[in-house]
This record gives sequence, C-alpha cells and structure tokens, in this order.
Amino acid sequence: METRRDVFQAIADPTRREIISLIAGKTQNLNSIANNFDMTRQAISLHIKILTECGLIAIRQQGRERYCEAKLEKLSEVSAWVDQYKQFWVDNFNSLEKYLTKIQKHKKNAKRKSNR
Amino acid sequence: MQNANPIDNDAVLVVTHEFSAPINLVFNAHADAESLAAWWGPVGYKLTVLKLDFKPKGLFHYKMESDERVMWGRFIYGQIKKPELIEFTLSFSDEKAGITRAPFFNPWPLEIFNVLTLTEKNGKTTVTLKSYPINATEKELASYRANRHSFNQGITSSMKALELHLKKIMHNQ
Repeated sequence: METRRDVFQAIADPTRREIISLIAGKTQNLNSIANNFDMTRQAISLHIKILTECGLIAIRQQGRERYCEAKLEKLSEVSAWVDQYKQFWVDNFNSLEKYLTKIQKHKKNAKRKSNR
Repeated sequence: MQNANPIDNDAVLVVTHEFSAPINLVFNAHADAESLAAWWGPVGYKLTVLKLDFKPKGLFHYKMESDERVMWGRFIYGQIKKPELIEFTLSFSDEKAGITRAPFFNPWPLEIFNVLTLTEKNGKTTVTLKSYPINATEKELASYRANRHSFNQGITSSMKALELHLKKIMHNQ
C-alpha cells in the first residue's frame, strides 16, 4: 500500500486541525506555534512536517527563523470530499428507508393473509 | 442544512436520518447479506455481497456494478452493540479485499472511519452517522508517541523545564 501524503492525512489528526486554525489567521514561526501545545517540540515538528508534505503549510526561512504559512486552497479538496460523501450517505439512507418501508409492508400483508 | 467547516471537532462529517421503523429492524438491515444487498451502495449500481462477517474486526466485502464500471468496497467492523452502535472503516477495495485508491472519485481518503448510532423514540429510529478519514500516518504517529513516551519521558520533561526556565530569563531581560 502506498503512503502518499494526501490532504486527508492533514485533517485526520485534531492537533493538526488546531495548527491549521492557528496559522490560518496569521503566519507564525515554529516556536510560537509550539508554545500553544502541551507536547514536545519534536511532536509538533512532525505534525508540521506532515502538513507541509500534504501541501497545507509552506515554510519560509527568514534569517534564523522559520515561518509557517497556511496554504488554504488545499482545504477545498476536503470540502469537495465532504460534500460528495455526505450525499452518498443521504442517498444510502433514502434507499434504506425505502427498503424498510417495503419489508414492513410485506410483514403486514403476511399477517393479514394469515388472519383471514 | 449547515455548511460544516470541514475541520471541525471530532467528526469531519455528520449525517442524521429518521426512519419510520423500530430500532431492531433498522439495526438488522445492517447485519445480514440480503438486507445490505437491497439498500447499501451508490445509486445506479448493483450490489453483490462477497463476504459478510458482522462482528468486531469482521469483513464486509462487496462488489458494485453499473453498465460502465465495476468497483469493490469493504468494511472492517469496529465495535458493535445491538441495537445502538455499529462502527466500521470503509475503503474502496479490489477483488482480493485489499485497500485501493478510489477509482474515479478524486480526492478521496484511503480509509474512512464511520460511527453509526441508533436511538428509538415513539416507534421511529434516528440514525446518526459520524465520519472522519483515518490513514497510515495516524498509525505511524501513534506508534511514535507510544515509543517516545516509554523511554524519553525523563529527558523530555527536563528539556521542557529548561525551556521554560530560559523563557523566563529572556522575558525578564
């Protein structure tokens, strides 16, 4: 199985969702991002690395600082999937509804016949 | 219908439906091959159940066929509590029940975790679906966290203390 990074990997983790929210409003350096979390710098760096590989963050070196900038266009891929998947389930539930109506009707008819 | 922010809370996607049927009937419709073949799957496709093992860690493997294409899908079940809970991981699949990329839906997650909860009131059953993508990276991260925790804890906490200390000093200058 391939381990290509896709945008869903970015949003699958709640910490990463928070990181995205943090920098969506304002580009920040790695240190100030890490300060918001109660976990090791290494753990945060790994999250940022994944987000970069998914195309959601771009890192800019400025002197000794590394600034993280959000690339939110990629998130539209997630919205696209959410809309499709939601519709898929709405359709499924409608099918299930029809199926349940049908089997309940058959049960009623079967009962009626046996009561004659 | 709300326009959900795709990066909200603990579920990326929530769908609710109320069925005019008692809870056992609704639950059972998810639990046997004949029922699933009758309602599960995308519109316009004929569904064939290849395997159904309705229990935790069990496999539901199925084929979807239309005039234009054939696809396979699979569930791996998580927790199951009759009649109120069914969890499963959904993926596109192949003939051998492996995991594949979605054939033409793009982009699509490799694996999607789904939690179905059922509640009954006045003879009607409400089903709530909560769903989010999961993937290999999560497993990687989880094992990384687990390993770090066991042997790095001592070093980590002292590094943190040092960092805080340095911050304090710098702040006071």
